Amino acid sequence: MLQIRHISKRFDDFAALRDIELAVDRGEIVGIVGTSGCGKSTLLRIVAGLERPSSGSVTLDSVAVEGPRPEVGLVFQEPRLMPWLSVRDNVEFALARRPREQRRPLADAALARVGLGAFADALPQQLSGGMAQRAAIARALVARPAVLLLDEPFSALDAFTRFSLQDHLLDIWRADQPTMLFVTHDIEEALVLSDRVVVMHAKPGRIHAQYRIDLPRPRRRTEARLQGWKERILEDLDLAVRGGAADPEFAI
Amino acid sequence: MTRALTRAGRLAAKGGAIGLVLPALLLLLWEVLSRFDFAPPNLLPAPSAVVKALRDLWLSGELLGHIEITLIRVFLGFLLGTAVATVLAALTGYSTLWRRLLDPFLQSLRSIPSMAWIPLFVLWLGIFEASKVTLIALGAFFPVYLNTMAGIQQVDRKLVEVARMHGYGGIALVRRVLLPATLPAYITGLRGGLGLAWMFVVAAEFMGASEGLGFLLIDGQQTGRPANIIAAILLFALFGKLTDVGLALLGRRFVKWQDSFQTAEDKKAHAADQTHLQAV
Repeated sequence: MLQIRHISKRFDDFAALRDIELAVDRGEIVGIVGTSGCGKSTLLRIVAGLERPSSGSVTLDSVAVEGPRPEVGLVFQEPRLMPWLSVRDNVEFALARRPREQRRPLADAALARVGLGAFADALPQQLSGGMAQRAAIARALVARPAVLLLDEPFSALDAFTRFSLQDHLLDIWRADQPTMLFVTHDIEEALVLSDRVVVMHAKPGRIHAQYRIDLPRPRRRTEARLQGWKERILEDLDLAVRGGAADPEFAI
Repeated sequence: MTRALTRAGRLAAKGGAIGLVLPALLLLLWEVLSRFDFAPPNLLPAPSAVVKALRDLWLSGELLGHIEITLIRVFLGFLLGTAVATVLAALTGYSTLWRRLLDPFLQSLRSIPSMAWIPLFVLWLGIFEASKVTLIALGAFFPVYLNTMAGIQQVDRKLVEVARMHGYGGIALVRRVLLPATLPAYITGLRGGLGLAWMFVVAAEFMGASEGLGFLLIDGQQTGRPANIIAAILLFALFGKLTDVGLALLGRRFVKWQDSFQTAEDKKAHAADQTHLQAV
């Protein structure tokens, strides 16, 4: 459904991405891991339509992506809530295309799904980091996008909040089955959530390896079979580090 | 609004009470010294003489006219300066082309001391209202222009991206993101502009007016009535403060979401508590 074809991206003299090929099926969850500077966030921004590739194309159901599209939702690394809007109004912000009378019930339902029903009237500054990120997820999901992109969505949160939000994301996925493409530097997060893990290398950013994780969800983080994949991915990334190409920023 | 007012009242009660002690003592000392002829009344009239001057001006029916014309001048000048500043700041803030075109020129105008314009304004616009209002508008212009332009430029690019992601562009982007994000800086600019408008109305009324609080100052000097001068100074302070508080309260209503507005006030209250404790 989502086709990434021969994407390259150059910033002046710096080759951020070279010849990325990736096809994502409807309802599939794909996690992208890589060292910092491997261009994984840039790739996501190109798919979101926030940035244009230097060459290559992104198509969604055979339609070229040339800018932000209503079928594509994006969760950023930070919540990015409008500080002057209540939590509910922030979620309604994503519903500008809907008739006015539909917005409030939809927003309230989305907030209830992420467990923030009681905080609809609060201002973002009153929320904790995890709550704010949940509100951001509600905003990205409220318009029921066919594709959900997530750019290190939980990396700024403590481990506990991270685990609960990962579970939350899977609950939501079960309900709507959006196609999900997410970027992370947390290998375990990628393994617990994804149908497929894509490992990227830096300088220039390129796809190094892909692993299909054919285990039923929900998966336990300690599951023995995940450990095998984890070691192989670590080796993939370690290669990159020992090659002097990147910093070991990934977590285990 | 009423909540904000009672809050302001509480603050004044807590922090203000102790702050009134020194002025009250000075006032008392001043009155006593005057009564015993320590200060020549033709230079420094007693507070009671100032109150009497105020009352005489009021009873003659003159005072209301002076206040009214000064308020009108400040209001018109502030409105004109703010309107022009808002439009130009919107242009230079949003568009790099307009900024490159206009901003250097406007910045260079800033280096001319504003009072230097007076002779030219009088020559062009006559000695009546037009030149006065223009001078006041010039005073109000720069704080509004500079704050608003900076405010627009400092809008968080990340929030703009969120809006783009949800299909906002053009007018909708301005209305839903850029305007609310710029509002705190705009209100700061408006308050600065209003302050300068009050400063410039004095200069404007010095340059040949037959009414207004500024005229009272000059008239008091020329006719040797210092009580009138002090009365006019007090009225300037009173109306300057009142209009600023009004604008601040109006502003707080629109930007109550902003962290720094509220914390700044809480800090002020806290600081007042501290001084109070130390005094006790």
